[in-house]
Amino acid sequence: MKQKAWTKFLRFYLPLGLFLLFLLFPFYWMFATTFKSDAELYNLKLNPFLIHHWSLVNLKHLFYQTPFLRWLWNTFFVAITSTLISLSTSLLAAYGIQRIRFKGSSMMGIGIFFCYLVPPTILFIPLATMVFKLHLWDSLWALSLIYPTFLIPFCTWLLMGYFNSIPKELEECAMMDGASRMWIFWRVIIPLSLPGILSAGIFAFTLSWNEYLYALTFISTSLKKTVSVGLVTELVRGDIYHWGPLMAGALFGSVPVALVYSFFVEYYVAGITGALKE
Amino acid sequence: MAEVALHHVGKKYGDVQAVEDFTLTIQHGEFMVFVGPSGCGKTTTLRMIAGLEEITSGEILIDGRKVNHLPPKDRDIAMVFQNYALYPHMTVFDNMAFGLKLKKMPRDEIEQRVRQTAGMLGILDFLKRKPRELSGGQRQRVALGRAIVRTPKVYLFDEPLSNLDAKLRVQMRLELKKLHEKMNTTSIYVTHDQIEAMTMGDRIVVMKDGRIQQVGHPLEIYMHPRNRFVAGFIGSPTMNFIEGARIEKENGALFSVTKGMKLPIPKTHFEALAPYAGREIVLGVRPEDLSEGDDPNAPGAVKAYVEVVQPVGNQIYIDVKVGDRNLLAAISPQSAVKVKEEILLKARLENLHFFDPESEKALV
Ligand SMILES: Nc1ncnc2c1ncn2[C@@H]1O[C@H](COP(=O)(O)OP(=O)(O)O)[C@@H](O)[C@H]1O
Ligand SMILES: [Mg+2]
Repeated sequence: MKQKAWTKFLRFYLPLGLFLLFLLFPFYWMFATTFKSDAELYNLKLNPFLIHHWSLVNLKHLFYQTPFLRWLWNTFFVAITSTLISLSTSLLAAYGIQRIRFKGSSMMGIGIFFCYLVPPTILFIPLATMVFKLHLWDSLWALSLIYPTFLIPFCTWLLMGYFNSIPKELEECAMMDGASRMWIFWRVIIPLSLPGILSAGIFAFTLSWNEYLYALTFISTSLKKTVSVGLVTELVRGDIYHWGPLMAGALFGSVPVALVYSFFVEYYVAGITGALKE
Repeated sequence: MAEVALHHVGKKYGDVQAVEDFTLTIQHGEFMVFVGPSGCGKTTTLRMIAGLEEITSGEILIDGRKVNHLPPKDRDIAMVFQNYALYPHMTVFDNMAFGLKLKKMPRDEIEQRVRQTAGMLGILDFLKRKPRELSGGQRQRVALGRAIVRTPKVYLFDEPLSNLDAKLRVQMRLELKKLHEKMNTTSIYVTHDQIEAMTMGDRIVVMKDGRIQQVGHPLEIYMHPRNRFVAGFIGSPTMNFIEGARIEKENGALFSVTKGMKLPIPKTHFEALAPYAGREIVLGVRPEDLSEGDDPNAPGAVKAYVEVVQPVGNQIYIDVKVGDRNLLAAISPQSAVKVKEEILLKARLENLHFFDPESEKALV
């Protein structure tokens, strides 16, 4: 018995613990730095892993001297709108490709996948031209419309896999009962795909929340920046890093995502594994 | 009530001819069974009737009206799928009420009809449950209920019992048959199980490789299979086929002869078999047409050596050697037959089957 507990500890809890430590340490570092004064931060004699004197000075800096709350709202706005646009488009696209056997549907699926493979570093120059022509330069809508270029392929593929796990007899039965395609889509497919839709949504939300390159390229006004860009452009002045506020911003920027994840974690797992249990 | 007619219906998937030249009329109120090995095109035929699959050639008529391009919802057909296809996110009640709600039936009428059907099927207590909270047999009933409650013109069943255990299958078979007697709705039932086909069908369609092999009443098919495939497929245990049996003519009588066995052919078959005199044919003997005999000189007597004895209760299956061939015989459970002993068998001569070795068609 004792032996067993030991082997379980060695083979399961120990690796898991080390892994957690590795993953969570950056968060702890952000947290610790946030609540230290500069004096403590740069004092090499103190143990850097502990907080000796709690200080709110970095938070004051972040919230009063930068438009951080505005950045949070911008990020939220962009993440939500681009997620909604991507989800609604992907739902229809994935359903169409997977279930309505039109000519070239499988080619279309592959085509969408290839779109996903084109890196943003190549795309941002042509996209910049388009953004200018649409008079969306320096507008949050530019991001809301551009993020779907990588979110839609991603969500479409995830949802295609999910729809594939729904037996097509369910739809056929509904069809024989007199339901229309749209009706079936709303009343049968959507409710059954909720875990898939949620996980696609979470992915889309996180990807747009963390996006950096497009946000850096298309937004220049401070008040319109997103968190990821705002922090780096306004709290790194030349070669001076305002570590305290930077880390505070990073901490408060990652909290919403962590909340979203923990809230939907069950659906998220079900969505990834594509398991539709009867 | 409806009549379903198929005229030369065919279905091709790319290069695969799934169903070919399928012609059949299913009468008002008839319980028609499609039976055949897996992949013979039963499901495809059913789905074409339902309108879930486009047909490549021919035409389908329901009550004399051509429905080739009519969408499923306008055909007034209900189908029970092999995997039940219950909506996992809806309660049993909502599953059953689904079609009625779509028809915009008043709420209280829906309620009343669902309850009545559920009562008939013994699932009244489960109306509030979700499908995942039911056993296989209960789900099966819900699937049936969902079809029945709509009172369509035609029912289609695609192997509805194949996911149930053997005992439940026998019970549901009986209940389905009773339900059909009560409602008398035209039904098409697909199965790969010949016993299910024999016991349930008013008529049976035996299929192979997308083609109809024979259509008829169960006993008619059992007694007079039209070719070797049907003979082997219908009946359990399977018919013994003796290849290379010769038809011989002696003193104006015909015999079918193989090593260790010489069976006189009944006079009624003389005309059909005379042209085959001196040629080899395939002789078919059902195990149940071989019984224990007592007179070694009686017509149809066969000496055999017992290799395996399998009692099944109401019969004993024995695997015997006659000449250099193995045959299966189903004999009376009272028999004192023993392994590795000689036994005298007697073939029921009027039930012998003869097949052409090339075309495999029945000769009589
Ligand atoms: N959607 C499809 N695409 C291609 N071939 C199919 C399709 N559905 C069935 N087939 C083929 O058609 C033939 C008949 O299939 P099916 O009707 O399902 O047989 P059964 O129900 O008698 O087992 C099989 O050879 C099968 O492989
Ligand atoms: Mg089938």
